[in-house]
Amino acid sequence: MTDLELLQACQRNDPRAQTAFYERFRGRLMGMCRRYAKSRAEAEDMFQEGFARIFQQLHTLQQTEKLLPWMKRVMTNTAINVYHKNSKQQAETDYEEAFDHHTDDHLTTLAQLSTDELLVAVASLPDGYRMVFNLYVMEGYTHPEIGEMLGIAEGTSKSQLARAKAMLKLKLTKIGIVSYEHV
Amino acid sequence: MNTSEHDDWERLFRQRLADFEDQPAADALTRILAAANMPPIPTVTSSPLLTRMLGIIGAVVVVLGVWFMQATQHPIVLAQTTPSIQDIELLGATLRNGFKTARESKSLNTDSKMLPSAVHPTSEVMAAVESPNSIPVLRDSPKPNQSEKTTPVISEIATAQNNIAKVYQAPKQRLLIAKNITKEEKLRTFQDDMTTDNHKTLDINKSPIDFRNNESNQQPATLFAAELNQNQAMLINELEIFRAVRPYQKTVLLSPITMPEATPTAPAVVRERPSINWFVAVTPLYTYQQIAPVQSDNRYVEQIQTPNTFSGGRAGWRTQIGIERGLSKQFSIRAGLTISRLRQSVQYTSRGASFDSARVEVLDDQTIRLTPLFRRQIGQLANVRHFVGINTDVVWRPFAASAMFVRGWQPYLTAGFSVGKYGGSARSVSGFWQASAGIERAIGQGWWLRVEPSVQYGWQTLTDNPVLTTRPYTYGLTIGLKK
Repeated sequence: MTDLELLQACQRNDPRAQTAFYERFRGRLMGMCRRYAKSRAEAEDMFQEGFARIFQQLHTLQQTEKLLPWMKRVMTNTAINVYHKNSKQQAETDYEEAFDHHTDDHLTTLAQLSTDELLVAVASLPDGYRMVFNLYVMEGYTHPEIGEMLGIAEGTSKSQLARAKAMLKLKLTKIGIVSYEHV
Repeated sequence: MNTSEHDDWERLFRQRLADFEDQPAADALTRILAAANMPPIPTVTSSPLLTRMLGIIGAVVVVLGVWFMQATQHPIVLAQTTPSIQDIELLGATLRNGFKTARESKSLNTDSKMLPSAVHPTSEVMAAVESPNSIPVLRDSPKPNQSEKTTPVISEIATAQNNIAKVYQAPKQRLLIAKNITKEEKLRTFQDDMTTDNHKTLDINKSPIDFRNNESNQQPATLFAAELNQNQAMLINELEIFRAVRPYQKTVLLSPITMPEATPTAPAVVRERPSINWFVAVTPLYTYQQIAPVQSDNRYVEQIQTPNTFSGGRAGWRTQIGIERGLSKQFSIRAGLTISRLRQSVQYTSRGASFDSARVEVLDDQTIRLTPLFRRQIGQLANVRHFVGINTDVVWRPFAASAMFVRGWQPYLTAGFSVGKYGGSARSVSGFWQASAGIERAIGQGWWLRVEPSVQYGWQTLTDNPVLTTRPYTYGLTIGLKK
């Protein structure tokens, strides 16, 4: 079944098509949610909410070539909504720590760590840093776009990205050292 | 770290995580489909006839209120109980003109026979005057033939009498004399005075009345003049006497009379509210509920959803009819019968606490994954509750003592409760706490219009559903009338 046929069947609320559609895209979208969420549980909630929204709004989509970008956009919006819900409850910590450590071997470290370790490092970022990092580095949005989506200034987006990267490199370095020791 | 290093680092990071995939929970699809295929929350359909009736009632209340407000400009002030200054001036002018005409008219001073019959009073007073007990001078009836020279004078007299008649035709209670003294009583009093010795001692020369016609007429005329001279203010009250004697003034000349100062207009009388008033009110309202799942060991309720805040599915109404009794100037208590119709709908999903089935996946030779699966049910509640009860409220008018009215509206606060019984599936005795802040104003004929935003909060939760408990509360706008 092609993507077009699958899309049309899902738009008719065909249960088998919906199951097939889910099976086809669940892994990639769940992986995306893992990047945005700070825990697996939050990622699963985000995934279910986003996927339900995809099924509800699937009838608005006509072009199959835009299916995956559209689904990613829906998931991104879901992650942003979750971020806004949780933003008042969180305190951004480890702020100054990020600028105190610079390593020169971060590229090597990044290449040597596993994907799960990278996800752990990303998930450990403060929510704002993690959102900006994902939107800019992974999704390719610009700072003005990120500022509009998150309701922050463009400069804030830039500074948060810089701090997120610095903090991430520090964490990866620590993880890498621990990993090397285990190796 | 330069820009190229930044780009490399980001590109490498993107490569590592861009295509990262992970597996969601095993029952994620069930949850997703349950959420995605959840039908829209049903709205309780209302009766078109009932909706129209409520609309008509509301429109009638509003139209009547506006009409009453426009029709009554001074609903609180009662009619004045004393003549106005204009009335007294008109009366004074009438008297002066009449007296002046009589004094200057030769025909009136010489012979009563010259008086035309047209100026004869035709009221019942005339009949009384011609009774055997009447005064001799009054018996002298005029002759029908009339001189041409008297016509202008007569016309002035007629005009003066018309002016007097206008005063008398004023609304009731505008002149004290019209209210309290009958014509017969005045004439009888006058005749009684004629027979007393007190008036015989009066000096005729000092009398303002000139006697030129008949000596036999001097005594009653003098007495009459003395009566007028003693109290000119009484002249106004004794207009009927004046009218009775006036055709025979051929024997009497009255000096100009200084009119008494106009009596200051009595202060406006504020209507005292009756101690007991009837009231009726209609309240369109929105119903809300505090919803909680019933604690159960074998059922788990999730995803409770309700209609939007101002959805039509929440619309209801309440009617009240009862009495209000004043306790003091600021406080009163009202009680009555209340009937409410509350509407609310809820949608939820529920599943058993224990899983209905399980999925077993073999991950490797030594590991299996066991995933419990639950069967979810979508439940809907579309509650339409009727509540019949008795309401009691204390009404406080904080500015009643200072008579603070803004364009006729007076604010007030109420607090109280309703106790009664739910109909339908609830069928339980319950009640509401209620409070409101409203304004009221008199709209005429004893009616008061009230506009009163109100809130009600249920006394207790209702457990008429096996899954959810609810506690209703309402917001509404009460529009009512009080008499």
